[in-house]
Amino acid sequence: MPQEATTAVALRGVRKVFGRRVAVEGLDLRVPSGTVFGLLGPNGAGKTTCIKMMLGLVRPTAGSVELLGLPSSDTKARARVGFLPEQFRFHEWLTAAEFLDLHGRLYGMSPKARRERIPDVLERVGLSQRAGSQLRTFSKGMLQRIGLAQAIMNDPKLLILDEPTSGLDPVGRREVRDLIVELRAQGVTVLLNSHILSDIERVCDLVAILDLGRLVWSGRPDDLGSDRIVVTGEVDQVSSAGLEAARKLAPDLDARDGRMTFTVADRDAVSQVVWALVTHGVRLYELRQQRRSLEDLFVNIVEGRDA
Amino acid sequence: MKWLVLAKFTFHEAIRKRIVLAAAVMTVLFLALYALGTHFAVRELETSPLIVPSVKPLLISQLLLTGIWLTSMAGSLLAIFSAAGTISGEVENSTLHAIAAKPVARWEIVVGKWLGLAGMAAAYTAIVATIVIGIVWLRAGFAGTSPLVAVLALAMQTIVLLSLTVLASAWLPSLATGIGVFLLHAIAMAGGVEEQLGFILKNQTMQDAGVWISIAVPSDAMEKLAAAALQATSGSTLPMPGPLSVLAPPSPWMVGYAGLYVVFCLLVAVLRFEGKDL
Repeated sequence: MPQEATTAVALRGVRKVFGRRVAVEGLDLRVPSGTVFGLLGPNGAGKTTCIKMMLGLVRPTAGSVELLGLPSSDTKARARVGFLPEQFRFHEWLTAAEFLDLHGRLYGMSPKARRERIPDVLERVGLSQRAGSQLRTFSKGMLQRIGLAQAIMNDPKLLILDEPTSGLDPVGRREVRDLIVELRAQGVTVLLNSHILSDIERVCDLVAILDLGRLVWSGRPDDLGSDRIVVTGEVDQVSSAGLEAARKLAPDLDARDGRMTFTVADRDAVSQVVWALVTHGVRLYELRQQRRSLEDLFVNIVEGRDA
Repeated sequence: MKWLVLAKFTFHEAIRKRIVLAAAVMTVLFLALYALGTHFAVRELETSPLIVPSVKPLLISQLLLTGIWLTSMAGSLLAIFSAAGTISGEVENSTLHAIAAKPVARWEIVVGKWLGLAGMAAAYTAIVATIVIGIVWLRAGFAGTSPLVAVLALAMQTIVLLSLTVLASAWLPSLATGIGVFLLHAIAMAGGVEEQLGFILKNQTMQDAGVWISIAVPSDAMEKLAAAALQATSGSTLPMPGPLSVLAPPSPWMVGYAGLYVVFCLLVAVLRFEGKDL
């Protein structure tokens, strides 16, 4: 049974073993159509293996992978998929236009469609003036842009980007983010694998974090702040009794040199901790609530601190 | 028809590679020197009173066979080293990822690459062999018995080695592929020498060993077929002997066998690549 049309990518019980090493274990993942989906994880988490399995570059040891409702091994599934690989190497003797023409041919586009599409995608990645230049004359950032151009050459329904902002300057990174947002507005599903967490936070509707080949967290970036709140403050006259009472509510509370930090689950718990401190004589001068960032969550997961 | 797109692309890419550029420069140099050498050698043969007239065809034939042997070596090296990284090398440097992620079947990638490289290497060998034969024919009026067969046999030798290289490249890294296939070709050449010596010494074991080696790697057998089609005869069915003469030419069936060998190599390479994680 093909997955329903609202799902762009579906992985079910996917396992991948290379020799004795388990790269992905029992992974269930669903990327809804029309979303920007961020894939996060430390090095060796299995992200690139997942992406390769989606594209049929790597065969899963067990489980199934569907792409736009078709098995990933079916070449038809890839006709409406764009892909920018990590560390993309280019045929540098080609000009930008020749390079896009080759990839257009591999997508099965007609000569007319290619003629019309090439100037359009070059415009979108800001390389219109370099259509006739050989790729060997391009900077690293320009190569990344032309890589993006080949990925959107076929007007994809699903765009898979593996580290798309790698090698780009801040302006280039913003342009890529803008392009992703623009594509989402056109109904394109974007799967984004990036180490740049701020990029993920800014553009992704949904995020999945992998670690050691397993899915350890998934949800909306906005949800990150709702499950844990980090509080910092300035305090004085900290008593042991006050600390003991407060740590019953916030076990990670730390107070030294006039600074205090603790983490709680919700806003009510903040006032309870503060009340416990104040009633035991602790003086409180300043209090700040911080939404936990994606980076905090990511680092906690990687360091195994999340219970 | 994506395989045809990839074949055309690979052909264009191959003729832009440095190894091909280097081969082209060296080939022009080789052909110039060969033409010059042929000119002076033939002039000497025509004018020297020391050379017995009946030996002249043998010497001219040996001159041609020398050129053909060098052409065979150049074509073989070009085929092996231009294709050594065609699969494993492109997987290692990620060039293949963007292509294999397109709606292209794996077999189309292998066949397209093979066709592009085979076209380039076979064209190179055929052109150089034709020029070598042409030089001797223009200067000495000698082009063997079947120059067309010779050119086709040499082109087939290139295709055999190229197919073996593509097959090895589906398993081994680029360098190991290049060295491994070159050594296999060297073994095939040694087998060819052993077979010829076995013929002279009437030793069946040596001849059989040479035949089995030719079956395992039929590259040298194609060169022997080419040489047999170009060497001088002295009125009998046996060729006149010389260091590069072929006394026991391979059976014409070897061409058909080499064709099957190429198909087998390509088929196994496709099967291997179908199951390969990129």
